[in-house]
This record gives sequence, C-alpha cells and structure tokens, in this order.
Amino acid sequence: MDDALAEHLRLTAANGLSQGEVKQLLLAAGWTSAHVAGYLEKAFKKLDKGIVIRIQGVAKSFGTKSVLSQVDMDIKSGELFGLIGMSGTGKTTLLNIIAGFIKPDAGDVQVAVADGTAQSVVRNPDIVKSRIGFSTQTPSFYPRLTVRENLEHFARLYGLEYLDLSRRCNALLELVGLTAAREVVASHLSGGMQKRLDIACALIHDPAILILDEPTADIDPVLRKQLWELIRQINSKGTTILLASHFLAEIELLCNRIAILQNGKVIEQGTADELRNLYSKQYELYLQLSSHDYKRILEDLQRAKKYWSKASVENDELVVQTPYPEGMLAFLSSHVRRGDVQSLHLARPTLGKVFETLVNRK
Amino acid sequence: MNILDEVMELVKKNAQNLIRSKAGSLVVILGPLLIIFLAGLAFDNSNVYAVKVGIYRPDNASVTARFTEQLKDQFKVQEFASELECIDAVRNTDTAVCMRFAENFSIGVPTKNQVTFYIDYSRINLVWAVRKAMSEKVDEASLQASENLTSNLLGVIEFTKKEVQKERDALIRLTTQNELVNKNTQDLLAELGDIDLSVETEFSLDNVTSAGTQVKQWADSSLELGERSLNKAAQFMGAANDVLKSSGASSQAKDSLLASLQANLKEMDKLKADMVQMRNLTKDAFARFDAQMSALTLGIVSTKAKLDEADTSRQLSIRVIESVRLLLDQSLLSVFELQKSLNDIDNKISSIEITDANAIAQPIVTNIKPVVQEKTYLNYLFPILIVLVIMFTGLLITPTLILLDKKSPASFRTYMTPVRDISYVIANFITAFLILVVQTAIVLAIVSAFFSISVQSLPFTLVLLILVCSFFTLLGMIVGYVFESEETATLAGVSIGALFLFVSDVIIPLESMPEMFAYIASFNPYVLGSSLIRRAMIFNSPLSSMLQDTAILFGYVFAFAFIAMGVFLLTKRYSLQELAKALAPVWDKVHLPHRKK
Repeated sequence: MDDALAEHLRLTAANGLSQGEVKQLLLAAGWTSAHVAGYLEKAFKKLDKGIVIRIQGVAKSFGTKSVLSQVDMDIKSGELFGLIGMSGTGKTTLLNIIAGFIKPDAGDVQVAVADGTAQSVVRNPDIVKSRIGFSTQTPSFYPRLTVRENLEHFARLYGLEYLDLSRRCNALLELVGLTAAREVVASHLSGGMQKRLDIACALIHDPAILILDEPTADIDPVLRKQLWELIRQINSKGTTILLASHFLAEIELLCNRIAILQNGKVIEQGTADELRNLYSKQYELYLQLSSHDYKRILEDLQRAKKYWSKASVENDELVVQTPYPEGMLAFLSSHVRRGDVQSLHLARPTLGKVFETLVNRK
Repeated sequence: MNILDEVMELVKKNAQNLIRSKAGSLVVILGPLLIIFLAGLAFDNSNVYAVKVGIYRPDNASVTARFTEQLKDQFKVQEFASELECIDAVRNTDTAVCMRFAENFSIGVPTKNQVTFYIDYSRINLVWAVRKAMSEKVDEASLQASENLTSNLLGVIEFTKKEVQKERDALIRLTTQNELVNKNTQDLLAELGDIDLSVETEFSLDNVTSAGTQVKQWADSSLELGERSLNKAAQFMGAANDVLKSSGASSQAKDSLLASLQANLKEMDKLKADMVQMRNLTKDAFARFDAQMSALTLGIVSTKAKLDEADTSRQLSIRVIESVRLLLDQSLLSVFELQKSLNDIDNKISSIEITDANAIAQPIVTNIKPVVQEKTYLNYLFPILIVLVIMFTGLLITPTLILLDKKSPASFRTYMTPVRDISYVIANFITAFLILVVQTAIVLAIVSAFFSISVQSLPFTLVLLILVCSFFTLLGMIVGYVFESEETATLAGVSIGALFLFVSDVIIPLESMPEMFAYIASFNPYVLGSSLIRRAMIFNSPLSSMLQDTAILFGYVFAFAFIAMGVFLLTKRYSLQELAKALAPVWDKVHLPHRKK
C-alpha cells in the first residue's frame, strides 16, 4: 500500500506536485518523517546541474547479438549533441532506448523532467516521453492528413487545449516554414517539407529534448542546409538536441559535443576540437600546382622527412600531414616555382579523418 | 486529456485516414455492396434450373420421352446418342448431370425400371439442386406407376378377403359336420362295442341229446313207474276189494266202497291207458324232439357261425370306424388350422387401415413449406450471409486497419504521446466496429429494399448484429495485434474465417457431424450469431428462447475484449521495436537476428 502510494505520488510529483506538497501528502498518509525524507530524497533526486539526459551502463542485445554495451553518456541542457558511428553501431537503438521505445537489458536512462528531478525512462517512460520529441529517419506523420491536421492531431494527443494548440501550431508552422502549406495534404509535400513537418510534429508538445535520427538522410544538399538552419534555430530556442547521423560533416558543423559510437560502445566523446586534439594533432596542407608536377616536390620532401608524417598526391593535390604547419608552409613555398601555385590551404583534419583514425585504432 | 477525448481524437484520425484513402472508402462502401450482389447472384434461385442436363435413352420409349419432356420444363435438356458421350459431357462440365434410362425402360419391371444419374460431385452446389429436381420428376412418374400397381394389388387383396370370408362360412359348416360325423362315429363305435355276439361255449348238441334222452328215459321211467304204481294200486285195489269183501262192513258200505274201488280201478285202468298213450306220445314227441333238436343244433351251429362272422365283421367295422374317426379328427384339426389361417388372413386384411393406393404408394406426403413465405433462397440465407459478411469483413479489414496504423510511421509518433494503451485499443475497436456497422447498414438497407424485414424483431436483430460485429471486430483486432504483416494477418483472418465456416452448419449440418464436434460447433460464434439472427429475423422467435445464446455471444465479446487488450499489451513492445526498425532503414545493416516468421 505504501509503495503503491509512494509510486503514485512520485508520478504525480513528476506531473507537477511540488516536493512540499508530496511531503504533506505522505505525512498525512501516516508516513514517518524519516521515511518521508528518505522517499523524497529518492523521488526528487536531481541530475547534476545542466544535465538533461544521463545514460548509465546501458546495454542491449538482440538475441545473441550485442548491440550496445556499457554506454555512459551525459547530455547537457541546451546543447546540440551529436552521435556518430558507422551504420549498425547501435545509434538508433540507443536513441530508441532514450525515447523509451526499447527497454535496455541493463542500465538506465535518466531524464530531467519539468521540476528538475530525474525520471527513469525504463520505469516511467510515459513521463519521460512528454519531455522528448523524436524525429525518426523516416518521417512519421499521417500522409493523408494535412499539415495542420497532423500538427493538431498530435497536439491534442499531448493534451494541448484549443488556444495553446492553435498558437503552438502556428508558431511551429512559422518555425519550419510550412505556414503556406498548412492545408496541403502531407503526402503531397516535398521531401524536405515532409522532414520539416516531421520535426514540427516532434516539437508540438514543446519538448525539452529533441532527438533527431539521421535528419538529412536522403535529402539533397540544398534542403540539407535548410534543415541544418532549422536545427540551429530550434536549438537556439533552448531545446536540447540529440542528433544521430553518419554524415560527419553535419555533426561537425552543428554539434557542440559529439560521441563516437563503435561496436555498441562510446569510444570517445567531447567537442569536435577535443576529439581532434585527442587523436590527431597534425594539420593537413593542401597544395595544387598548375603544372601538375608533384614529383619534384615529393623528392624534396624526402629530405625533410622528420617534419611530416604523410605525403601523397590525392585528386591532383598534394596532401601533407604535419605537426609543424608553419615550417612546412615555408618549406613548400621555397620549393615551388613562382606562378605555379594554383591553391594552397592549411586545415585541421576533418571529423571524418578523426573518426576514421579512431575507429581504425579501436 | 481524458480517455474519451483520446479515443475520439484517435477515431477521428482513423476516420479521416480511411475516408481520404480511395481504396479504403471503396472497400468500406463497395465491399458489402459487392458481397451482397455476388451473394444475390449466387443464391438467387430464379435461374437455378437454367442448367443443361444430359439424357441418354437407349430406346425411344414413350415413358422416357415423357420424362424428357417434363425435364425440359425446368432444364436445358441435351440428349446423347451414347452413355459414354453423356458421361463425358458431365466430365467436361458441358452438362451438370447425365441421366441414363435402362434399356427397354418399363415402369415396375425389375432391371428395366432403373434410372441412373451420373454426377460430378465436385460441382457440389449445382449437382444437389439439379439431382433433386430431376429426381423429383422421376419420383413423380414412379409414384404414378406405383399407385397403379398398388391399386391392382389392393383389388386382389379385397377379392381375397371376400373369398376368405365366404369360404370361412363353408369351413364352419364343414367343421360342424365333421364334428357331427365324429360324434356319430363315436356313437356307432359305442354301439358296435356294446353288441355281444359271443355264443355260450357250454352249449353242446350231445348234451342236449343226452338231456333229451335222459328226459325221455325219465319220462319212460315215470310212465313205467306210473304203470307200476297203477299196477300196484290195482293190486292194492284187488286186495282191498278182497279185504272189503271179507270185512264185516255193511254191505252197503261194502258196496259203496267196492263201487268206489271199482271206479278207481277203472280210472286207474284209464290212467294206465293214458299213460301208455302218453308213453307213446312221449316217444313220438321225443322223436320229434330229437328231430327238432337236431335241426335246432344245426340251426344253432349255423347261427353261431354267422354270429362269429358277424362279430368278426363288427370288430373290423370298429377298427375301420376308429381309423375313420382318427382321420376325422385329423381332418378336423386341419379344418381348424385352415379356419385359423383364414381368420388370420381376414384379420390381417381387415387390419390394413390404409386402403388407398395413393396413400400406400406415397405413405408420407412431404409438403415442404417454408416457415415463412419468401420468394427466393436469399431471404433464408440472409442471416448466414450477413454474419458471413461481418465475419470476413471483421477478420480481413480490421487486421488490415490495425496493421496499417501499427506499421504507419505516424503511429510511432502516436506512441510517443502520453495516450493510454486502452485508448488505442478502444479507438481501434470503434473505428473497425464503425466500418462493420456501416457495411452492415448498407447491406441491411439493400436487403430491406428487396425483402421484408420484420420490424418487430428489428431492435433485437440490431442488438445481435452489434454483438456479432463486436466479436469479429475484436477477433480481427487480435489478429492485427499478433501479426506484423498484412499478408500474414490476411492469411490468418482467412484461415480463422474458414475454420469458423467449417465448424459450422453452413457446409455440413451440425446434426451430421460427430456428436462431440457438433457440440463444439454449437458454440462457434459464427453459428451462434447466424442462428440467433435467423431466429430473430425470419422466425420472430421469442426473446426468452434466445437469451441463453445471446448471453454466450455477449460472453464471447466480453472475453475477447480483455484478450484483445492483453494481446495489445503483450505485442506492443515488439511492434514498437519493429516499427523503430522500419523507421530507421540503416537498421537493416545491423544484421540483427530477426524474429522467426
């Protein structure tokens, strides 16, 4: 009886009852002060400041195939968190566990709810779901309903009242740029518009966290850029975004922090620079000659071998990896004939390169 | 948001989806129209007999020609030149039935009165109807022939009865006479038995002769003795006379005495003479006596011989009479037996209650009359058809709807919403149920336009239809929840529907099933539903007689509602997982072990 009441109150608390109100209710129910204090500590446990999702020791297997093992991750409020990994590394499984669709075999996912307390996705998926919006790789809305009808339908299912519903729908249509298409049947929308509608549907209940699974897959570059802009806009409004993609450039461009998933494990996480610095302190120098004669330069480079780690001609371009970019620039400048340089630029290695390196190392 | 709002929102969404799907709308509206149209065509009996039947008649007998003409009233009759051609026509489905008459077909003549039907049982629906109709025609003629034969037979029996009754009187007389003869014979035997024709065996002629001689001797002796006595008396008389004369008696006295003595002496002399005469007479008499005795003896001997002969004849007569009597007894017994047999025959004939040839030839007249008068079979089949439509619609459209929603990417988002599980289930139920109700209403509307539906039973019929729709909707929902693809769900729906059909009285009557099987089948919801609707719509059965079955049907609905909810909860997790896979195409590259299908 006590446990049932406690669970009920805990759920109620997550839905808006303050800690003080719950305390009063428990005391009125005959609980001892010590018992109430212990319960409140447990029920109103909060995540560390700024953390909205805490993934702890999550493991998941399908049959004998282990998809995720011991995944630990913290996602901070307001950040745009990227999840990268090769196909089949468990990104979608992890996102589905966070959203409460799939139960992990081990571990838990704690999500900060409205009052700041942590709620387990495993134990209270319904509470957590209201905090999360999820846009899957394939748009999930009713193709025979109009844009407005889809938004209103999901808004009603989330319990939005008419005025809020109307306001929210209009705001979202404005945000995703579908105001003009509000009465268009969803299946008649273009691919990019459908994706935007899907994101709008995911945001209809104003979730604190938006999960985007491969949002730009199968979308042309122009629409992709539009979507990136939309994602930034959403994030700028304070929504924490968890973005899973195998487009490394997208992750690199958009995300504040990135976790790399390999064989069901998080092999590294941090900002893009942190990842680069951690595994590759070299720069890449790209030199393109109008004479296309790279043979002599490559011979010259052999004499300065200790200053570079890799030199090769790729796509009619000399690529030199070096930890000494200034010296290497000077070296090359002195060995190239005047007027032969068509382009020359120095860059940090791309996230793709870092990812490739990390994966190969692991 | 309360459950009602959630359910209403989900139902509204389902309805919008369905209405905006051209295929869905067509299925909902045209599906029942198509089914009822097809059913109407299939079960309309107006042209059932417009089928072709084959006939092979080895000869052109008038009887078979008459049959053929009668059949032409109802069928397209095709005559064949050979039996083989006729049978081949059935095999090639050119004709439905081949009817072969026996050679020299003749009614009532064994081996010549046979009509053989060659039937392709694989065309089960048509064959039974055609065979029935053709058999009716043959039976009609057969009945007429049978009536004639029976009438003749009855005439003979009636004649026999009269003859038996007549001969029974003669037999009674014969019995009486026989009994009288027997009695007389017995009397005769008694009389004959009483006749004593025995002769004293002591009788002897010698003895008679000896006795006669002795009598003669005794007579002679007597006469001699008399003579001697007379002589002695005469001596005494002389002596007396002397004495008297010497006596001192008065002379008078002496004279008187002497006179008396003299008179006596005279008398005595006369007696003596008489005695001599008597002796002579006796002698003559004895002579005659001897002669008579001799004649008598001869007569006696002759008589004795005759009596002996008569006795022998008597005894022979007794034996003959006894044997006659024995024969008479036996004859009487036979007469009794005969009488008894005749009585039995008479009784048996008299005990025949039905003496009408028509009644004997057709002892039971089957008048197949519909409980209610309808124009076509369709009305009788309507309850079965409507439940059939509901069952297959429920089992096919409901799982399809469930799966369309379950596999729709949008349902992923719906699952993300805090909508209660029960709201999904109720919404699914209401949507599918409404479709079924719309379809049933369309069918009912069409049917009511052509056939009379009892207004009195309409409310209860509607309740029953709601229960049936509910049950098959719930069953369809369970199928939809359990299966993950429309193909397998459709297969499952069809299989379940087929199972319900086979375990019902649609194909085989329940009564012809094994007892246990029939018992189980009687609880088949399809059987319950169609039976109840038939009773309500066609027979206007009282509500009280249907309450038990209605309660069972309601129990099914109640139980399946819980089962549907349970199955939804059990399969939800897996469905979500499958949906998540579908929504993330790259998932396929993970090479996860898929659930075995």
